[in-house]
Amino acid sequence: MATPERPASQRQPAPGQPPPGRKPPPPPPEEGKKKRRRGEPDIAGTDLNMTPMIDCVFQLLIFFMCATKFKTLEGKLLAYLPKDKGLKNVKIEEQKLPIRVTLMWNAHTRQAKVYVGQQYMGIADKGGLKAAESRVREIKTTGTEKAEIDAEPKMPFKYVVETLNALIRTRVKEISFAAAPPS
Amino acid sequence: MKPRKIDEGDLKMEMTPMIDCVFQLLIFFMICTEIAQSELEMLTLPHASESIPDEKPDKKRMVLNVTKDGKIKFRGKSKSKQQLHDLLALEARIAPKEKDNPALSSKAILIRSDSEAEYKHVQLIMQECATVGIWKLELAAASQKKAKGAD
Repeated sequence: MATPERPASQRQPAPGQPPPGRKPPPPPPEEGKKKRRRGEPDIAGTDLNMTPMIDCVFQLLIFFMCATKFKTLEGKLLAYLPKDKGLKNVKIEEQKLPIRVTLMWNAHTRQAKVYVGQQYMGIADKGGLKAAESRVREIKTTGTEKAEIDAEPKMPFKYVVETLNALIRTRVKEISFAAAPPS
Repeated sequence: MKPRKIDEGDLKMEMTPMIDCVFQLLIFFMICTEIAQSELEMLTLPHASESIPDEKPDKKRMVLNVTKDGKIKFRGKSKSKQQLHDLLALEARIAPKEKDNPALSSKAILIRSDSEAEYKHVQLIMQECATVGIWKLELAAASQKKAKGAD
């Protein structure tokens, strides 16, 4: 008696073959590779695109290289304003007139004239300051230890600083600035 | 001899050390750039051979800049005479006082003036300082370069 033939779905699959109607299982993982589970990202397959980042970083680098101005060490000259106000603490007998260094500005020739007291020393850029320095040294030997800079309001600041510098070189004890004329 | 053929498919440029270097440079320049340097204007300072280096300045020291065209600037902003007075008065009020005279501030302020600026602007600052009780001033100057071969 012949047995009725089973439908294809109920047939026993051959060893090593997937059952009919199902997907074949994934190939066995290679040796040394971990099997990836469902939902886990494929890290090996992810490729980080570095190019835009490197572009940005280079842009930033070039910007900072161009924009950077390294801080340079500046110098300074110390200057003190008078502490006292009015005549309260002034001992008139002990007062000695300071050595007055006057700077006059000629706007037409753009030259600064230097005077020590009433004596004309010359143009600041052409040895006037050197001459003034020597003159102040001479006066200092008589015992005057104070000097005053009286510069015109329109005088470029560099001449004031150069005069101050020259007076510091003479080792005068006190250097002051004349008050501005009342406006 | 026949040159060995290189399989171009296997050639890969190693980017990591380059990116490391670039980041190092980037961080270096970012740190070196003082964005807060707006306190210091771009000025041509007068030269003074007797100037002392401004090392380790007080970070809270007030810096006033006088530009070539006569503007008095504080932190990048121009100040009028009244604003300058108010600013200096505030500075004098919050600053520590002199032991022998509590009306005077013991803190110094730095005046950075362009070498071509007119002296009257610096004089104005000095006047205002004297009014509010600031008596210590520092005048910024560039120290002259040493001549070649000089000790």
